[in-house]
Amino acid sequence: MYRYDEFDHAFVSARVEQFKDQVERRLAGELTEEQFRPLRLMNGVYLQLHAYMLRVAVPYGTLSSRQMHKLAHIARRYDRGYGHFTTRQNIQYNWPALKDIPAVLDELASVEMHALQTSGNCIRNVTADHFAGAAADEVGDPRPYAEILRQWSSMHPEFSYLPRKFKIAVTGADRDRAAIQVHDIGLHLKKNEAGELGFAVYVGGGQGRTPMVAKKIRDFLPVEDLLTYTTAIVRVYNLNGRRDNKYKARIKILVHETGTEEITRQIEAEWQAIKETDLKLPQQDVDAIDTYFAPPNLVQRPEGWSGLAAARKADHAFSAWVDQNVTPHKNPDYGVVTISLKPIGGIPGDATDAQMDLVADIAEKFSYDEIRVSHEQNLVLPHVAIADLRIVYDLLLTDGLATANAGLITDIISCPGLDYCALATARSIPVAQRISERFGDPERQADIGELKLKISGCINACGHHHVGHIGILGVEKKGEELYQISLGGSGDEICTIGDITGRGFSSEEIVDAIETIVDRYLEIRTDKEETFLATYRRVGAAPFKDALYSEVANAA
Amino acid sequence: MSVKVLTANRLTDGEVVWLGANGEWLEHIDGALIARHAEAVNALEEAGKSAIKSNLVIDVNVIDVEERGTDLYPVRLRERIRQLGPTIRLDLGKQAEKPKAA
Amino acid sequence: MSDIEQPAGELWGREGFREDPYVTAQTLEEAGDAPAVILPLGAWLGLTEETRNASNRKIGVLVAPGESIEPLLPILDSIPVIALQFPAFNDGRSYSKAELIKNQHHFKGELRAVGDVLIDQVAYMLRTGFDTMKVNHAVTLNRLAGHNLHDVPGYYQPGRGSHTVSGTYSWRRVPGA
Ligand code: HEM
Ligand code: SF4
Repeated sequence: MYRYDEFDHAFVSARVEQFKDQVERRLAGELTEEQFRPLRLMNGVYLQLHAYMLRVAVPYGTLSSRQMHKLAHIARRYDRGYGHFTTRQNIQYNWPALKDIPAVLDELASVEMHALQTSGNCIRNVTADHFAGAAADEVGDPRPYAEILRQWSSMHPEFSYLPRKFKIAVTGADRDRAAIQVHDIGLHLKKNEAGELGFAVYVGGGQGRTPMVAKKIRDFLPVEDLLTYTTAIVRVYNLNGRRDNKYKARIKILVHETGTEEITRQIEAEWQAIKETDLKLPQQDVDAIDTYFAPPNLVQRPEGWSGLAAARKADHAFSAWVDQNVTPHKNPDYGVVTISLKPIGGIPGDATDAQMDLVADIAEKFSYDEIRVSHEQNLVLPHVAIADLRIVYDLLLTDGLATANAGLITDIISCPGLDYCALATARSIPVAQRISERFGDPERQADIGELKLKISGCINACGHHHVGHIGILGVEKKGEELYQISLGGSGDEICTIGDITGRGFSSEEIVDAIETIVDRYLEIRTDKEETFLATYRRVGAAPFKDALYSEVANAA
Repeated sequence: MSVKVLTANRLTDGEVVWLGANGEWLEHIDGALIARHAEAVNALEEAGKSAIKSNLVIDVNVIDVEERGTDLYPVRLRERIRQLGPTIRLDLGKQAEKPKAA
Repeated sequence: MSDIEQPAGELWGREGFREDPYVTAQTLEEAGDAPAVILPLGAWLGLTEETRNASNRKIGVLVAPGESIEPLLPILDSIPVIALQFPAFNDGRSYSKAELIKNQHHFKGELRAVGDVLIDQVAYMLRTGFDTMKVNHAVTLNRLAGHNLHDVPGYYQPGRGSHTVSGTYSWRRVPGA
């Protein structure tokens, strides 16, 4: 993984020193809240309902054991013993005191981490496929490019006061695990006919109150043009994006209002003017960054497979976990392990300090020191030998980290909602917990198969509900929590925004309503191979609406 | 009938506080200064502004509460959650430190 | 509060504060016989070429964030100063305009930022191509007077007033001409 050099260290420490000074001035009353707010946001510090919140960037979701130990230490020492892993591959601490935050940033800097650009109208933490560098289906590792983008976007003098936040995601496989089409810029690393690496470029996707799927504006952009082309896009946006209404300020609205053809023309014209400038990437620099992400020297461990078969036979639960949570690795002796942060009835994405330490220890011994944070709020051990799966499973089991539900209905994405968030209109976590309990039986969820359920506590859509196979949006109506359901959304390579079913459901009704939908799916799927999404795409919303509204009406 | 109180988060640590009848910012809603009519609400708003100026608190809001016996019960769920803590972690927030007196 | 005198109304550049030779006016008439004037874009574009190029006075142009710089690009050589407005600190359009004017179109005159500028933004402005600023933010003025630019030791992008460093990536720079 990338390691800071002196340049990076000096940069990050200077930023920490600046923020220390700003916090001191704030606490001394020399800065007003109005003056301080933009400064604290630049450092990832929000105010939530109960306390401040600190959002720490995990660039493209990659962590070392040492960094994970540090995150655990921060949770223990400065927070309440846990952290929340988010859909943006960040970790959020919910209870830090303002006066402690400079110390936390110092601690983070000591392990080459920071909270910069996790908020504000700038280019945010760049996200990537969480299986990057390990997945069997990968064309190229997206992380070197995400790292180049991270560096280039850090304190960018031209792009730090954009009309609105700006999110870039990069994936390196045809199977899109990074939801690139719901980002401001989505980059799909691929090879052209000559076998050279480049990107398909998508622009103008996003969620929030006006969800939109990004438009592809270029089928192949050579790697050397990554920064010039991105600059052209962001410049066109900075100059022309709307600033009169914050709900219309994202690039998706500009693309929509300008038209894909015209915006593409503008971007290409700007790009022609800057294509040959200093931002053109020399191959040697790309190679140098690439080296940091060179795959670990995996020891051949072919003995794993025979042992695995026996272990699976002996232990049904272990076998289910292997089926569900282990994904093929480039190297046939290895697997990619998803550590579910979705125990049945638990809080999606939360991990205790002890769990973080445990994951760090396991990664050090069994995953070449690497950990990933997924946008699905899980953790990933990217390089586990098949021969070690059993022992890794047993270790995970000791602290509730071996739930065999990756990709299943209980692997729910949920934003913090009204339990923490100052913008929320309804709670989302308790709904997730009740759904998880309802479908918690392993046989039942395995039978239901792949089903992505995502919940947001307000229209901002931090919980990705628009791209949930089943999405739930919590709103407030006449002082009560009300939950709207949408169906058929998908954040992968065939990206769709879900359709709202109709009137919303009360907190008491919502879990039954979800069960009604799932039962209807089980009735009408052609066979067990037809997933919920495939069924929905075949039959449309009608059968589900019938089930939902007639049954609830009958029950009432 | 609902009356109003003034709430905010403390500058140094973000702790939820309410303006007390004694003029102090209290960590619990009991003893909060209650406004029963428009003038009193104005006074609360003024008190809020001056507290912001003196850099004691941030995010100051006048909220609706009901008087239920001797208890103050915030009307909105949001405010009840601020008063107690996350509903999904009863071990955190104010609910954890102060078991409600029977 | 700092006890440094706030030189409001003066112009700041890398060398420090100096007197601003320009007056800002809505029309040329309003400016009387001032030898150096800055006019809003609309008024400036309304002048005849002859007036603009008159040798006895300098006439600069003030551009609001929502106004296009397109009409200026072909005639940059005849403009002594372009002032880009920052009515609010968070309206960042003028940074991109600075980049276009200075770096893409090689404007040789003075590029000036006017308005609500936070101290943390000054370094960004210098890097995108601004030469001077006329600032109304008291804290900023104080910090400028104290030569505290809130800058970082290294940049991750090319830009004005910085140079390349050998042995590191092509996009990196360090401060200094
Ligand atoms: C205090 C907490 C939070 C605040 C104040 C907040 C605020 C917002 C706002 C205002 C938007 C709407 C942006 C727009 O439509 O232009 C948004 C979108 C989003 N947020 Fe959050 N958020 C919070 C927590 C989170 C968390 C915990 C996550 C991850 C689990 C997250 C991830 C996202 C994502 C993925 C989107 C939608 C994608 C898009 O930008 O279009 N946020 N957030
Ligand atoms: S979706 Fe709404 S409630 Fe959920 S975290 Fe985002 S802003 Fe908060």
